[in-house]
Amino acid sequence: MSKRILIVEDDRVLRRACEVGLRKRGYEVVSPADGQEGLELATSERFDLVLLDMLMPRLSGLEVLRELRRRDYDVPVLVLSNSSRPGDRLDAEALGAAGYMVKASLSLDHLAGLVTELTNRPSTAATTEDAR
Amino acid sequence: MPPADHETPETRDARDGAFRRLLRRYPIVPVAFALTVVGLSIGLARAVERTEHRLWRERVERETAGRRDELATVLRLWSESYVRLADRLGRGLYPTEAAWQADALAHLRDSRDPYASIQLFDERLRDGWSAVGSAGIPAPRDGLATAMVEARSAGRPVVMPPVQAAPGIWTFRLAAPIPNGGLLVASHSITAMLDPLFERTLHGMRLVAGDEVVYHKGAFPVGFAPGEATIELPGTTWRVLMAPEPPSTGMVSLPIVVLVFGLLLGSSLGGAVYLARTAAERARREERTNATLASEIAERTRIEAALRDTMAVQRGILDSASCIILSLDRDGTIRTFNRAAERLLGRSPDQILGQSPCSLVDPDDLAARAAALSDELGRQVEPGLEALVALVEPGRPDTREWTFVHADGTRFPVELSISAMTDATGVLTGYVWIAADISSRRHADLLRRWAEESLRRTEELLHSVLDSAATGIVAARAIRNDEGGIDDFEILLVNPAAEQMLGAAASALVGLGLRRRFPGDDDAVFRACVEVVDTRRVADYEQQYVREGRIGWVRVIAAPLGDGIAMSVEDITRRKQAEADLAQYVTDLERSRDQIHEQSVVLQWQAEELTRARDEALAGSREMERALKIQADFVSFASHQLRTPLAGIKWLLELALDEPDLSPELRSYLEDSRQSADRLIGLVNDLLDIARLEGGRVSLSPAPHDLAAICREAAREVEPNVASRRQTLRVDGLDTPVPVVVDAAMMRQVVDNLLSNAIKYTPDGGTIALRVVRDGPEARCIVEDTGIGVPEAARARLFEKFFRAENVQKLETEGTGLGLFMVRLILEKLGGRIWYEPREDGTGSRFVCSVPVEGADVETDTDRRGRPRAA
Repeated sequence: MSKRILIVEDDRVLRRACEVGLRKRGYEVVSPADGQEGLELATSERFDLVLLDMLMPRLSGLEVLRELRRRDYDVPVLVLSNSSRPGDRLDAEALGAAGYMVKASLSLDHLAGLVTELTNRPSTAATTEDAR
Repeated sequence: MPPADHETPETRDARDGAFRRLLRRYPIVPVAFALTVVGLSIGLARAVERTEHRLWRERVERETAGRRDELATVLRLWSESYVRLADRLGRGLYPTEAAWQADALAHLRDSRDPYASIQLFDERLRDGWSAVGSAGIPAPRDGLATAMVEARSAGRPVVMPPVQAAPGIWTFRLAAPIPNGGLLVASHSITAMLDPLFERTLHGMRLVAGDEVVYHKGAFPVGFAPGEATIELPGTTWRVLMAPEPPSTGMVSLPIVVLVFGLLLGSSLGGAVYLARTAAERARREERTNATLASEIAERTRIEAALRDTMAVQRGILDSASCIILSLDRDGTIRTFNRAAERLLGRSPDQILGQSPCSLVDPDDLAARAAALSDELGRQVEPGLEALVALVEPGRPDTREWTFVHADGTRFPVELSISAMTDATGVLTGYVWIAADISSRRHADLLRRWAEESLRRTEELLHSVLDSAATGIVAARAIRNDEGGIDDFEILLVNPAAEQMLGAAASALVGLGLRRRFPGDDDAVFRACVEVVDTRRVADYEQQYVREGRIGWVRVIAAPLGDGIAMSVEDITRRKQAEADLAQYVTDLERSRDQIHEQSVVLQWQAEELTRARDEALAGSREMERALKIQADFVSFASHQLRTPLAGIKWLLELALDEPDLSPELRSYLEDSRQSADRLIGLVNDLLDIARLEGGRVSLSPAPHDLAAICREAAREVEPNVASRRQTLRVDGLDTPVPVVVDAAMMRQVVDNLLSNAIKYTPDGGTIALRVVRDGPEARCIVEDTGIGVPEAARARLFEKFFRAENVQKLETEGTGLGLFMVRLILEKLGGRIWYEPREDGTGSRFVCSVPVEGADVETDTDRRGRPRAA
């Protein structure tokens, strides 16, 4: 059975590219367009990985992360942002994100590699790499 | 739309088609055109007519010949059948008349001719056997003898001239000689003979034998000559006249149709062109008129609106003005006024309008002014309008102070400016009065003068107190070091008594450090002062001093004064010496202390001022901090906004490139697009990095790292690029750890930048070297290449933002001039430097960057610039 990925991304084009790119690689993808919807889906359905944008209407990525952490969410969350503000990265990691990538510097192949890695490792080890 | 006035023939030509241009330039064109069409149609009609005649003639000839041949054949067949009958007679095949008659009647029946007959004659033309058709008319005997002779002598049948067997019945007669003597004459009605043959023909036809028309059928058309052909018959010649039906039926022939149609077409086209041209001309004229009219109306509306606006604005300005504004005609009658005039004068409009302005002015003022003017001008000036406007000239208003009278009789001072109004020729038309109420100004002036005076008096008093005091008074401000501790006190104020005690003039003391001025006092005074400032408590102590060999005593009272102290220093030597003077002294002391208190209040106030100033300076720096934060937020926002669409482009292009069935051409386009997007992303990243570095908001985390390892990693990663250019990468000193304190990611960016530059600007097959060496407290990373190098002129500006050397610009156009600038920024943040060194052999280039090694005194002063140490 294929892995299920939740893509929370407000930019239509990025959402579509990401969706198609991962579906082609055999993942099942659900992609809400804002943080509120993303949070509801993440907590009501079972996923193997959550890809989370930072700057979004209604509920920002950080707020989603904060809420997920409050509920002891155990699915790895990979933050995909376009902000390279060091503070954002630190905040995301402090809230238990499994990784923080700048979308513009990420190719779809690279992203797919990360997704494979994160969906195949046990969820408890999600934050070891990002200690720095 | 532009006004039609501006439409030149050129622009009209440009707008119209070529045809319209032609029409306008040559008005004769429609007529010429019509005439040409008429001429052409006449020519065409003639040609059609000629062709028709020719074709008709050919047809007539062809058909005539055909009819002739048919006729000749019929006649020949008849002749032959009778010749055979005559033959059979001659050979005696008919034994009896009845036998012959039966055969002959069969012949006659076959002919279906009631007028037919066959008769036999002997050589003397006596009647022999005969067979007669149903009409019972025998063949006429005319010309029988001639036929007998001709037939017998020729030995063949002859056709006899036609005769009428009955009225209108022309006969064809054949005389055939009978062998062994005799003549057979067969007679037939020509009509009966030919009608069956030609009953279907529509053509007109005539058969003419000699001069007689022996057969005619149909009508001949008028104006056409019939075709003619001859039929050679035995012994005679007949003619056939033949005319087919006319080529066109009815009144209207094709040429006429063509002609009439051409005429109509020509004239109507000509007329239409003319009408169209006239209509276009008229439309253009109307359009032009309308446009002119519209623009005039628009202009007038605009002017009216502007005028209304201007008037409203002027009215508004006048009414909102706080000064009285009046206009007067040349006789001095008030014509207009503003609200302020009503308000300040307390008069209703009808008490102002039409009045003389003299009623507004205090009569005493007016009288005084009139008197003064009389003196000045040397003539009698009445205290009326003239006293007000005597000095006013066009372009030179007269401004002076007057007293105006309110309706309730109170008076108020005004500054009145009277200007002359003139018409266009410079003739005086009236005056404008502008009067500002200056009562409040006067009041303020008074207050200010009083305040200044009291301040001056206070100062004088203070100075005289200070100057006359026997107590030395010194005020000083704390000079603090960076840790906030007090290093010294700067003397702010010294009074004459203190001057005397300190043995120096105030000018030599003020601004100096207390400690520096009095060294060697084992700092007791200084320490006491520091304590006063720190504890904010007044200190009162006695101090012994030695001057010119004599021992003396001073009593010092030090009180905190802002961030400093005020001290009163009193020489108490005499008290110490003479207790008797004590009482008096105490009185003096108490007086002095009061004075000091007074002074210290002033000093305290000054110190508070200083504190406030310092707080303001602090607030300023907080402002700056906020601005920096806003900038950082902006950079972060811009980075998101720029990168999101770029990432979208990049990912979609990757998806497109994944499609399996792309043509190689399309694939290369997409690949190029993706590379462009990558380059754009790189540029945005560089710009953002620089913005952050420049804004001082980048967070570097310097920590101990191995510079050699960082360089090894960088070298490993560029290996494929080097190989693809067939270049050689030499590394040196990367095996020994070189501990440095840097932010690893930033340092890596520096090395990557330098290596990528070296690869880019070194030709294929060249050599690139990467070395790490240790030099005292610094570690150096050196990147060398055998490439195009840096021209001498460019070296000074190499690390500036956006700078690109000339040879680099020629080589490729993609660079941004940001790479080395960013390298410099990063290194400065890390407490390091970068510089360029020409290589010993003069080729290629060498970049050296240095960073502090671990354990060295790390200096992160960002003011240090990465300049070369040696030239």
